[in-house]
Amino acid sequence: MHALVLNGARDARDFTNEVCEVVTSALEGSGWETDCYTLHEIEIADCSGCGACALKTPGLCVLPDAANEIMSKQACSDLFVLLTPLTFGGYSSQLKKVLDRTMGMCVPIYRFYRGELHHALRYPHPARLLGIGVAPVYDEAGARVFDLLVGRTARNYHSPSFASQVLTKDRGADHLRHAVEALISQMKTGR
Amino acid sequence: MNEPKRAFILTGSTRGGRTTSQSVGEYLAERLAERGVHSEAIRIREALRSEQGGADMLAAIERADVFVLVFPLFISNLPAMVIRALEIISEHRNGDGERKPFIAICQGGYPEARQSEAALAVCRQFAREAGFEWAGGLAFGGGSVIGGQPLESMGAMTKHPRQALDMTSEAIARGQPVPDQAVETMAKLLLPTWLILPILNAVMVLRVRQAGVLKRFRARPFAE
Repeated sequence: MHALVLNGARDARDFTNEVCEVVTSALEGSGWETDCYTLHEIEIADCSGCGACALKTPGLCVLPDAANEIMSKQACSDLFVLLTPLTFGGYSSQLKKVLDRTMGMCVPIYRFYRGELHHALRYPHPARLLGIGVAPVYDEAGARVFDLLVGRTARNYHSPSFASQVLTKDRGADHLRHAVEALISQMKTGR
Repeated sequence: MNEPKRAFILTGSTRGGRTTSQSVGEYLAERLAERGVHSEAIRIREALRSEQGGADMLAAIERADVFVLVFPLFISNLPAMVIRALEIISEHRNGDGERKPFIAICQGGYPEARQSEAALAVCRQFAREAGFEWAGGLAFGGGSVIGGQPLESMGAMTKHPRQALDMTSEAIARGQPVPDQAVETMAKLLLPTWLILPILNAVMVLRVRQAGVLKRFRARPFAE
């Protein structure tokens, strides 16, 4: 079982980094082989929308940075973890800059998927999706937006299942660890 | 919301050249001008290119009576560049400042407007956290067909977005939020999706063939 974790913390001081340590530790403790990318430490360009990953170098981005390496991990992952400081109920720009660069995970052909038109997948076994938002305090409206967004992201990647949760700093370290372990346990039942 | 005199349109296109978001923004600006509302537009690439670009964007928001964001849908969400701009705006305002109306217009590549629901929910939450007044969100699909051409030049293909933008510009000029009818009109499809599917795929196969990758467009460079 392989898990790919993208840490979308804004900078080194972001509490999301501490949550990331808890997440990777819980994953490894549950037998997951884990790759984690702390995105604010990696130079990754914005997607220029050039379409080369569909029409020039199928499945590969032409920009020379870590995006292709991350896509290669995503292609063989059983679990894809999106970790982000809750940003208007959604993903931080640090996290989204990588997601924008994963358009090569799909082929430029459409098909019906869950009653909507979506691109067909390039790889046959999409990973389950786990979205973890990190906030100073709990905000119901923000958490609802996050769940909607993670669900929509899961549809885009054709994830067989997804879960989302907003974790807060104010609940303490023990609560955080238990919440993360419960989430990981929920995602452990294979594809 | 008071009757505005100035609108600021932030165009969220991530690439250069003519874009669909730009076409939408320009059409709206023209309709607003007809109703006495002057618009100022900045492209997100310019706003993020330098410190001065960011300062210009923040100053334009301060000058405007209403803030309109037009953006393409990327993976069910706003593009990273647009999120970065919203982070800058939110940090700058710090939840304070005048509660100006904020409107978001999303154009996606897939035909169904509902695929933009999460992106518009993020925009609404941005308005709440950054101290703007949420005045509504609009979405339409199939935006890539427009490809940066003026909306009027595309005839029936852009009938619904144009009607929706006409209604929206009228509402903005009167100081009202986006009407429900505009939201519904913009989301309307010209054809049912079962008919759109073979047309879209025929167009994509043609593009793939023209690009010379017909035999390898399904390649799996990272297959184990």
